Amino acid sequence: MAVVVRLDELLHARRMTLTELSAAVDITLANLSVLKTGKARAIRFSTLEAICRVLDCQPGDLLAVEGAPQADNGQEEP
Amino acid sequence: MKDHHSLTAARWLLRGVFWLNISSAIGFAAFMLFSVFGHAMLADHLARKYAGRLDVDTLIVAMRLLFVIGLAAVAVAWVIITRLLAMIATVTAGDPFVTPNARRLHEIGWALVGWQLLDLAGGVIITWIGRMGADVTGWTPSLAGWVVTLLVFVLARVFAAGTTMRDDLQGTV
Repeated sequence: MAVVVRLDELLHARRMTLTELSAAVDITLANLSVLKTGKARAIRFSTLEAICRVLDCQPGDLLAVEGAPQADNGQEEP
Repeated sequence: MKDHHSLTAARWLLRGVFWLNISSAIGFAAFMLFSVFGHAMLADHLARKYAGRLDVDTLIVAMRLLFVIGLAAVAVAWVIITRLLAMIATVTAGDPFVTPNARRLHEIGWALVGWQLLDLAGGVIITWIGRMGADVTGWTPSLAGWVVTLLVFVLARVFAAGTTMRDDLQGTV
C-alpha cells in the first residue's frame, strides 16, 4: 500500500497549471513538483490546507491510499 | 565571512598537525630502529649515565614499548585528523549535516577511546621507568580526556539524530 497524490488530476479538472497553483498557495514550484511526482516524504498541514483552499477540495480528494480496502466507517450512505 | 575564515584557519592548522604527525611517526620509527641496530651504543650511553644504578636492557625494552605506543598514537591521531578534515570539507561545501559526518564523529569518539587507553598504557610504562630510577617526566591520568571522549560520543549521537531529522524535513512539502 502506498499513499498517492492526485494533484495532477485535480489540476486537470480545475484547468490549472502547477505554476499557477504555486503562485496561489505561495509554495515553490520545485516543492509542488516533488509533491505531484509522489517523491515527498511528508506533507505539512499548512500545505494541505493551502492547496485544498485554492483547489476547493478536501484532503481526501488530494491523497489516497493505493491498494487499500475500502474502509467501513459504519455510516449509512444517504 | 568570519566563519569562512575560521574554517580556513582550522583546515590549515589540521594540515600542519597532519604533517607534524607524520614527522612524529618517522621520529618514533627512527628511535625504534636505532634502539635495535644501535643497541650497543644506546646501552653504553645509558650505562654511563646511570652508572650501574639500573638494568639498562630493561630500560631499553621500556623505551621501545613507549615508541610502540607513540606509533599507535600517531595512527589514532591520523584517524582524528583525516575525519576532521573531511568534516570541514563538507562544511565548506555547504552541506555538513550528512550521515557520513555523524559516522566520522563516531569514529573520532572511538579514536579518542584508543587515545585514552594508549595514554593509560604510556602512564604505566612511565611509572615503571620511574621506579627503575631513570629520569622521566611525570604522568597523571587525564580525567578531562575521558570527559571529552564521552562528550564526542554524545555529540555524534545528537548529530546522527539531527541528520535524520534534516533528511525527513528535506522530503517534507
